Amino acid sequence: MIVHVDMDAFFASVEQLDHPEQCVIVGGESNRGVVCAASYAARKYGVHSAMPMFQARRKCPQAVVVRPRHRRYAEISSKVMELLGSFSPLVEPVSIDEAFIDITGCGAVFGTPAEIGRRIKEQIRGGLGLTCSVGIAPLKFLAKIASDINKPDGLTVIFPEDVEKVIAALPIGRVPGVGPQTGRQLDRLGIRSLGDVRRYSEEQLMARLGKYGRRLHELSRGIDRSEVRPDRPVKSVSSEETFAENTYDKSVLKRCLLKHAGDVGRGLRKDGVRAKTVTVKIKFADFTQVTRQVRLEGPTAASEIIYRAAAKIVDAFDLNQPVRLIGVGASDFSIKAGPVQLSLFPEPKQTEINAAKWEKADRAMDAISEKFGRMAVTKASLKDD
Amino acid sequence: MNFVINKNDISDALTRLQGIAGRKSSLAITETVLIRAQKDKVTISATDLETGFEGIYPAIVEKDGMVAVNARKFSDIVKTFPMETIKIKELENQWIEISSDSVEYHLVGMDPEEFPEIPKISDIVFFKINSGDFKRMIDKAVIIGVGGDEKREHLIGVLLEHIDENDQDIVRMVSTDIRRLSKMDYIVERMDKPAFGEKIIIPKKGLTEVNKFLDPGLDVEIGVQGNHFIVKKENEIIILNLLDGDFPNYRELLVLEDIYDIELPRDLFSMMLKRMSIMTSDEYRGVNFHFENDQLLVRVVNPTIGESKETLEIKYQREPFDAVYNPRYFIEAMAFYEKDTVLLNIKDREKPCVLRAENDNTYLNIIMPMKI
Repeated sequence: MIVHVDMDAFFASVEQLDHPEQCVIVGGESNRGVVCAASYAARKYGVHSAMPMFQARRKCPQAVVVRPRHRRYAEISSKVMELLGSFSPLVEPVSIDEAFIDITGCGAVFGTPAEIGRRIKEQIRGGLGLTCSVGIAPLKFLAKIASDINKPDGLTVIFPEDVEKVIAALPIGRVPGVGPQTGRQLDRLGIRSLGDVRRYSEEQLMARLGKYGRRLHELSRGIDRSEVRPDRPVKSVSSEETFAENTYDKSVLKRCLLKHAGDVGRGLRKDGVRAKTVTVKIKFADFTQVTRQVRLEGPTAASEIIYRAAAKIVDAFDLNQPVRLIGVGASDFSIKAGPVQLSLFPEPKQTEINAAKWEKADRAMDAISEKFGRMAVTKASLKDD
Repeated sequence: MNFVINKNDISDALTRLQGIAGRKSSLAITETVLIRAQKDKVTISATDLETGFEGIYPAIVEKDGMVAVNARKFSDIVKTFPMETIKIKELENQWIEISSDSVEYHLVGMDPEEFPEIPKISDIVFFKINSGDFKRMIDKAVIIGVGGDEKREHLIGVLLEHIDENDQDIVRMVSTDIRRLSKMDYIVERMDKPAFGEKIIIPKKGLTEVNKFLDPGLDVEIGVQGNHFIVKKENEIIILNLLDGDFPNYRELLVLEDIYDIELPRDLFSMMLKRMSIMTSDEYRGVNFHFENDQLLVRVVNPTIGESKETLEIKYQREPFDAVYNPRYFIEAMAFYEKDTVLLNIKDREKPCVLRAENDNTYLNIIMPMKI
């Protein structure tokens, strides 16, 4: 059996712990940002994550708005994961507030799946003062769906004998991977529930949906090949920010990128990886969003190189409306310490030398920040942030 | 314009010039060939602004004239044309009719006046070189690519040198991507007057096009006029823009000490490296060479794919030592050696090694190691 644990309103709940007021909204303090998380008390007023902040304030004027403190969340998150690890070695953290646990064979020690679910909830509540929703099912995707059924503070078990029934009735939009577009496509085929998918052959589904057609075909027959993978590697690091005011000004965009490239670089260095692709995400005033990627000459963990690649993308980009959010990400990680080709002539590529130097400087800065705090050393152009 | 031409006279040339004119270009006119009919001849020209081609073919010309037609379409039409003779005629508004009794094409043309000018060749000194030998030199030079996105002259171009040594005239080509370098010498008959100055740099791309026009067995003439390198056949001529820039000083790399030579069986060594390169990847290209006690042990340990190792009996009694190389550079070079044994001159794990044939320094491959 597989357990899916989803922390309830995680950021907001952590803030609620630290600020015992009634309603907590996590997000930028200005009216321009979006709600990053809202406590259940605030949700009762209609506040939800990704809602523009000004709207949230209007709906729940008494709420306390706090800036997100990712470090604090990461700290609590690792405590949650540690706790889950005491039930089974097979814990796969999906994100900061979500994990799968494979409890197959743990029954003798911890009891029935429902008992294990209860114990997990008790321990998270007792040890950390937080609630979570737990879904338990024989298949990974069903466990995730189950955890969503009685949110918050829920516990739902789908027993093997009920799988057939659950699949037959499961609205197609709840199936992981089915977004609005796929949903519409399936609707045209008369598919409303996952059970309806069984009327179509694998070939028919693949012809319409490509590779996902095969997965959907399998899911509808109760086959889920995905396993709980405790060592699932991090595939990308990214950081983004919503501006206090929409802007056309590329120098503002780039200054923001400088800061976030720093965060991304730090993330890479912390994980001991180097990335080969840099992505810039831009969200415009009308909430449409574009991403642009560039491949680096060589893998890097240097903030400066990430910044330069991102700035180049922004320079080349034609802004036809103001920007409300910008983000930078690094992905396509390379394995460490492969041999490096030497050159015949003493004219190594300037960029490579620079990358190595910047990375060295960054590591020195990381060490200082580690010891004396984040603002002990920073870029001069960012000192007012 | 109106003429009749023999399919076989132009079919090959049209195929061969596709590398120059057959590609998509930002300048549409360079995707065409210029066809000029005059007296009893038809001239076909193509250019990508860096490499120009001009060929003259016999034809029965009824009316002189000039048209520009899409190179790819025209070539395809000619190649698959069902008859031996083809009638080509200019219609109104730059349309071109290509026909025989049973087939008829009407092809949209472009204004021939827009066609870029191809430099006229005046009376210059050419010297003769055997096509097969010249082709082999170019093959050896262009297998070494341009080395990534860099646009420096010595990476996108090949050095061509005239050397007067021991009463011999030598034509030398040097090609590099800065990780490796090949040097090819070709000894020619004594020239009365050098056909080109001491050093020129010719684009690799252009040489690849030249290669398509070289028919083994026949001689071609090469020469330089101003800023152009010229290859001339009886009725065809290719003109390359020279590159303007410096070529690094490679000569000190050619100085070899024989005591560092290791004899290697060419085929066995090459096959062994081909097997090793199965385990290399874009991120992990290195193969470790370990020399010890009459044995060469090669090994790949690629963390994402796996490992392999293999040994080869050789003659080696120096101190044991290790070096890491990209095997592709050896495999590509080895294919050009003809003797059963190659010499690998290897001195130090951080210094370049040199491949050559026994008692023959005309073709050297200098390969830089990798650093772990």
